Parts: sequence; C-alpha cells; structure tokens
Amino acid sequence: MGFPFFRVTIENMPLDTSIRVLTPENIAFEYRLAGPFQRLGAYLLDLLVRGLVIFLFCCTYSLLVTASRGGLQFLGIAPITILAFLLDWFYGGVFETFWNGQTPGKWALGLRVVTVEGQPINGLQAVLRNLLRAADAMPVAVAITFPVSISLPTFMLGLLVASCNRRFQRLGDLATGTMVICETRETAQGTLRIEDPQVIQLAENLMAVATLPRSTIRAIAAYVQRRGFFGPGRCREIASPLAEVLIRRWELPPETDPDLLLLAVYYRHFWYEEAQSAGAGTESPVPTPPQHAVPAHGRIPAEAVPPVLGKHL
Amino acid sequence: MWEQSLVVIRERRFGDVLDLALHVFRDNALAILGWGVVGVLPFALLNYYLFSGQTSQPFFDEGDAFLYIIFYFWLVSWQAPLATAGVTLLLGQRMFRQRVQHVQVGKQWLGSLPQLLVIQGLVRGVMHLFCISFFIPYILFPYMNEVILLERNPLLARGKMNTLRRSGQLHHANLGELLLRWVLALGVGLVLCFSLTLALGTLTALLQAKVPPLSWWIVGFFPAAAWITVVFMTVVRFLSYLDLRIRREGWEIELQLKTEAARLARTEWVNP
Repeated sequence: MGFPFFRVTIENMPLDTSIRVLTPENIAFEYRLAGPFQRLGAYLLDLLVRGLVIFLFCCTYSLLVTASRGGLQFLGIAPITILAFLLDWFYGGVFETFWNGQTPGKWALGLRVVTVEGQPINGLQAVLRNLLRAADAMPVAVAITFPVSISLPTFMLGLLVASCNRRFQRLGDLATGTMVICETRETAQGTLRIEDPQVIQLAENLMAVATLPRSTIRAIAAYVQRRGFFGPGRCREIASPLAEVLIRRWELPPETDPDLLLLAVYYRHFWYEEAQSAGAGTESPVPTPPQHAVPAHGRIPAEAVPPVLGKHL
Repeated sequence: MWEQSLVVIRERRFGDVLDLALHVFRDNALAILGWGVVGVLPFALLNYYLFSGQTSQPFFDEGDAFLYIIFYFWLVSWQAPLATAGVTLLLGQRMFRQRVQHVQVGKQWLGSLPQLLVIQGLVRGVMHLFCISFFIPYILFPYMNEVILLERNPLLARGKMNTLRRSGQLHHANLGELLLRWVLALGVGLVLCFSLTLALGTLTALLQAKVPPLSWWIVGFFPAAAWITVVFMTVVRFLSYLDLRIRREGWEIELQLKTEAARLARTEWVNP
C-alpha cells in the first residue's frame, strides 16, 4: 500500500534540483543539489590542479636529477609515476577529508560533499567515494597508439546512475551515503518602501487587505520585488488577473490600475500601520514580521524580514 | 497551475538547467524518445543517404572521417530544430502536467510546419551556408523553435503580436547571456556526443571481443550519439527558454498571481 502512495506523491511534485532533509529535531533544511553537469566543472578544475602539480614536480625533479650529476638517474620516472598514482587515487579523498567535503575544484564552484542526512562526511566516506569514481568512469575506451595507449573514461555509467535518482548520486555516493550540494547564499530582501501618493491614497480605502490569504500576500510581495525589472505594459499584464478579482470583490472602480492596486495592497499590509503610528506622533514600534514557515526552494519571503532595509521605489 | 508545473519554476543557473534536464528526460523518457525517433529518423536516413557515397568507399580513412564528422555536425545543427519539434511540443504539453495527447502534438506540429520551414529551414539554412553567419541564430534567436511551436503567433501580422516581434521581444537585451549559454551548451553537447560515441563503441567492442571497424563508428555510433545529444539538448533548450521567460518577463510571478487569482475567485472570504 505504501509504495503506490509514495509513487503518486513523487509524481505530483514538480521536478527540481533541490532536496529537503529533515533532522531528528524535526527541522527541515533545503539543499540545492549539484548534478553531473555542475560537478563536471569542478572535476575539470581538479584535473587542471593535478596536472599543474605533476608538471611542477616534473620540472623540479628534472632539475634535481641534473644537479645530482646522474646520482638520481637510477630512479628513472618512478617518482613521477608514484605521484601521478597518488594524485589519481587519493587527491579527492584527502582533500574532502581535511577540507570538509571540498576539493579545490568544488571550493571554486561552491560545491560540497555531505551525507544524505546533511552532515559532514568522514574520511572513510571521502576516500571510498573517490576510489569508486573508477567504476563511475566506465566504460573506459582505450586508444592504442604506439608506443603508449590512452585511456578515455566516458563516465556514462556515472551519468546514467546519477540520472536515475533524485539526489544525483553516482555509484560512489550511493555506496557511501553521500551527495553533493551547492552552497548558495541567498540574501533576504527587505520590504520596499512605497512613497507614491497615489498608492498611499488607494491603500487608505483597502480595509479588506487583512482578510487576504498569506499566499496571496506572498505572491504580491514577490511581484512588487520584481516589478522594477519590467516595463509598465508588462507590469499591467502580470498584475491584471489578480487585480481584476480584487476589484470585483472590493467593488473598486473598474478603471483602477492593476499595478497601482497591487502596490496599494502591499503598502497596506506592510507599511500602513507604521505610517499611521508615525503620523500620529506616537513612538513607532518596531514592526514584528509575521512568522512564516520557510517555503519551498529556500527563498525567504520578503514579509519575513523586518522592514529596516527598505528601499524607495 | 503554479504548483502543478512539471518543474519548479524559479531562476536557475545554466548548470542547474542541465541537471534538471536529466530529471525531466528520465521522467518522460519514453515519450521524449518516441517523439525524438519520429522526428530524427527521417533526417538520420537522409544524412546516411547523402554521405553513403563517401563512407562506403574502400579508401575512406581517419582523415576523411574527421571531415565527415565536421560536415555531419554542420548538417545536424541545421536539421535539429525541425527534427526535435515534436519533443518541444510534447514538453510544452507536459509543462502543466496535462495528459499528453499525441494526436494533438501531431496536429500542432503540422500547424507550425510552414513557419518552421520558413524560419528554421530556409532562413537558418541560408545562414548556415556561410561561416560568418553560422552563429547568428544561436545568439539572436536561439529559442525560435519554442516561440513558433509553443506561443503559436502568426508569422507576420500587422498591428498585433507576430512570431518575429515576439522573438525580438524575448531575445532582445539578452545577447551576452545568450552567447555565453550557447558556448556552454556547445561545449557540453560536444563532450556528451564524444563520450556517448566512445561508450557505444567500447560496449560493442566488449560484447564482440574485438574493435568494431571504422565504418561502424562512422555510420552507427557517431550519428546515434549525435542525435541522442540533440534530443537531450532539446530538453535543455526548453528549460532554458522557460528560464529566460522567468528572468526577462517574470513568468513565475505571472503564474503565481494567476494561481492566487483563481484561488480567490473560488474562495469566499469575509468582506468587511
């Protein structure tokens, strides 16, 4: 019974590259996942770093061999081969162990490896997931060109496995219970201060704003935050569907400008009381922001932020 | 509407779009591959016929193969919008989790065919002939297929919205970003195609216990990988088109407000 229900739930959820992790304390954290394509950039950067290290080592080693006047010649290319081997197999493991789930490439692109519970990974997980990259690289094409053969990992197995689960886990991640996340830092936007007299005048008459559902206020807040990026025509086009319903319900004049109306609703909800108390000469209390559950996709709603960062429109 | 969309509607970076495309491809794999095959097969057969004179020659070697790959890519990049029109229409239907009506997809495809042939076939074809203009469609109107197929405006109409005006409206002022995205998409597409070709060839070699002959790589693995990549990049292009609409036109805000309007229209609330 459980499985079909679970299946239906998943099917009805819009697809996204984020995942919500619930802690034992019942607190939900949302993580943006890094899929194969975002990780490809980090992998290429790490390859570059490894290549640079080997190149610098080769230069230093050849200088040492020359300086030793043949004393180190018996070593041949063994030190370089050993270094290449160590870097190939342990570069990622060592960095992710001591750098809290990051390699230089991941650090540069803001990626981090964490456990599926959102905890930092340990050394065993770091080393094992990097060792298993060899399996993810399958099938490996071998181009035999005399005198050397070149191995070309195609990473098709890793891509296929990562595509088949919601956390974009490759084989190494599945074996160690890890996932790669993007460390995005989204800044909360303050509420915008509106000083347009037309908006304020209209807001005076909007007594019913308090009865609007929270989701509607959130949608209007999102509109007001973004409307500066659109032209007047587009603003009217976007605002019209909701404004028409509000005009009908509140029996406002049909010619009320949709954009103006949504701005007035916004002003009434966020600023009206403060403006009233300031106008009455009383001490302006710091408005308490309404408490909202963190919505999906980790974006903090504008109304959840005290209006101290207000900008003038 | 807002909550019932196929993907979460928000602004995304290009890497995020590519990753999301994997989810969309997986969840709609059968339908996408089905429409992909329907659209791609005629062009793949045409290309096979066009190149069969050269590829079947006994003296066809690695040098010829390199030239063949260049020409094949050139041809595929011209044919791709026409070949993947069905996939774009399918994704358009799936966007709001509608039940896919394949007959409807076919009808819409036929209805848009004249515009597709004129703009994507003729105009792009002419631009493809010259190295200097080859890149123009990818920068000036990369989402023309989506505009033609999903927005369905007339090609030319005085005084009201038409395809060309709509395309200008959508793509205008984003040229830098569109160029960057195209370069990234090209890089990813080439890597994916190369990896897929190698993977198909290597798997065949493992199964047969011998390296397949050059002709198999040329007429089998490489074209298959190229067209699979094209179909996948169609999903990426569709999601990038949505992303552009979100960034430029506030599409997600529009949907959010429409959803709220519909909800309020359904709900009675106390009017003080």
